[in-house]
Amino acid sequence: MPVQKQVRMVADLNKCLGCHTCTMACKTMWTDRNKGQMHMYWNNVETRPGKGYPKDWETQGGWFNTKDKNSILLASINEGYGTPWEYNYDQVLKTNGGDASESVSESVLTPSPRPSGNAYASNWDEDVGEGTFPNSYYFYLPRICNHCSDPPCVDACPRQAVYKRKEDGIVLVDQKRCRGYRYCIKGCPYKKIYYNPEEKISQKCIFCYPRIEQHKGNLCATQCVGRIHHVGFADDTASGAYKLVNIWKVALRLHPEFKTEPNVFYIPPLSPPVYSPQLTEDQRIPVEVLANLFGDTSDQTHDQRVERIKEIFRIIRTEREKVAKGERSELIDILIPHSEADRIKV
Amino acid sequence: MHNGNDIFFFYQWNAATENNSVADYPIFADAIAMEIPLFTEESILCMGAMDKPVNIIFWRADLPVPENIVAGGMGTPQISPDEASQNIRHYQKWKDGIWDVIITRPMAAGSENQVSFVRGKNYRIAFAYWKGGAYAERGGHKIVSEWQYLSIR
Repeated sequence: MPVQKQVRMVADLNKCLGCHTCTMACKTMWTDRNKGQMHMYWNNVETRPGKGYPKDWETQGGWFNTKDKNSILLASINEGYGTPWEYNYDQVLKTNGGDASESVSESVLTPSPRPSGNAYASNWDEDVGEGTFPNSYYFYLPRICNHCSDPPCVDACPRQAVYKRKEDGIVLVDQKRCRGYRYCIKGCPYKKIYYNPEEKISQKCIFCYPRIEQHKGNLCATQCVGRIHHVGFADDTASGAYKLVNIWKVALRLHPEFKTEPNVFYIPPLSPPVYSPQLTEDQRIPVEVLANLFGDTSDQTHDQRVERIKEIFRIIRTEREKVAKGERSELIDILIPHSEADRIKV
Repeated sequence: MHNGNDIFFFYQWNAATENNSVADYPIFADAIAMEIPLFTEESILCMGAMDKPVNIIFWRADLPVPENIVAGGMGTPQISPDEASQNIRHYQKWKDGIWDVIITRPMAAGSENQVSFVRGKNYRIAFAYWKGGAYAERGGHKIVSEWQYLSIR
């Protein structure tokens, strides 16, 4: 699928603090229009290890690995994505005289509707992670559509309603062509296309294309308080995104074995040392766990991924030490951007 | 059946469940459609062709009204944009495992995006059926007939 340009994003997971500001920026900008979008988070932040959003999306499959395409699961909103609820803030926080005059049930925050059955939500297992004290661990993984170079959603649609823009490689669903067949949702192994049951059509992350057209960053990137994102075109050698992916080679793809060539990259997170019974050389987040998620290419083996991640950690540590000694490091300069213009070059 | 002004198509078929909603990711609705060449005598069964477009009347159990669709080849069907051609009405009822659906529209075309039904004329017509629910049939995933004949007396 030839494009003239391709937007890319690099997210530095070392700096993601799981605040969901990216999610909320996206939500308020794009998906609070109608009831059918309530369950949608075009940008979501999930805790890893964890089930993710939608629940267990990594095992649902896509066009790349499933011969019987009809067998690919379509998760339901309540059990897979989460039915949004409201809290009784008015009742609890705006009473006269406080809790004393209220019954217990009226003084406790309760969700409405109450999550029932196998309820779920986009951050249901937030901060759960794995491991036991003092070596428990988790990290945050912000996810948007990967605007893949080989997007299976485009192939999956029999109506050419899903398309990849030539000018910037952004993948969009033509809201007028879409008939709500949901083949694209089955096709996408990242489950980053959503179904709007009110409009009866599919909707997805648009990489804030109206902003990109004005050379502004997408909102998840510009609003990020941790400034974890670098956005640029794949061929723009001056952009931080290019340098991190192509020069310093410290950014990896999420599940490259899905064979879609995603254009969102991640710098894998370093973590504190394991304590057993003293501090050891091992990192708390096992490299094997990271290697299950991140890699360079679809044909890389698990062991090769482990080596690559270790190599990235070596590079980052070396460069950090340089700066600690008062020397300069191009990598650290890129990773600590001083202005939005340093991070976002579109 | 027609009364000189309006034409009526009556469909009845067995359906174990009433699938009349598309309100969640895994939920699909029952649907039927009829396809008639728009201005040529014949056309390609699979959504017509550029120079031989087809007119489709599409009923799906969750839709407020059936849709008037035009197509000029695979992957091209679209709801005709003019209001005048969205003149189709219907009656639907599912009871005891049987769907009854009556589809009606004026015999005269509302616009150029619609076939005119003229007395004494013969038409090619093809039918499609989508089984919703757990079968999740939609789009090209359906049962289609060969071209049949429709004679308006």
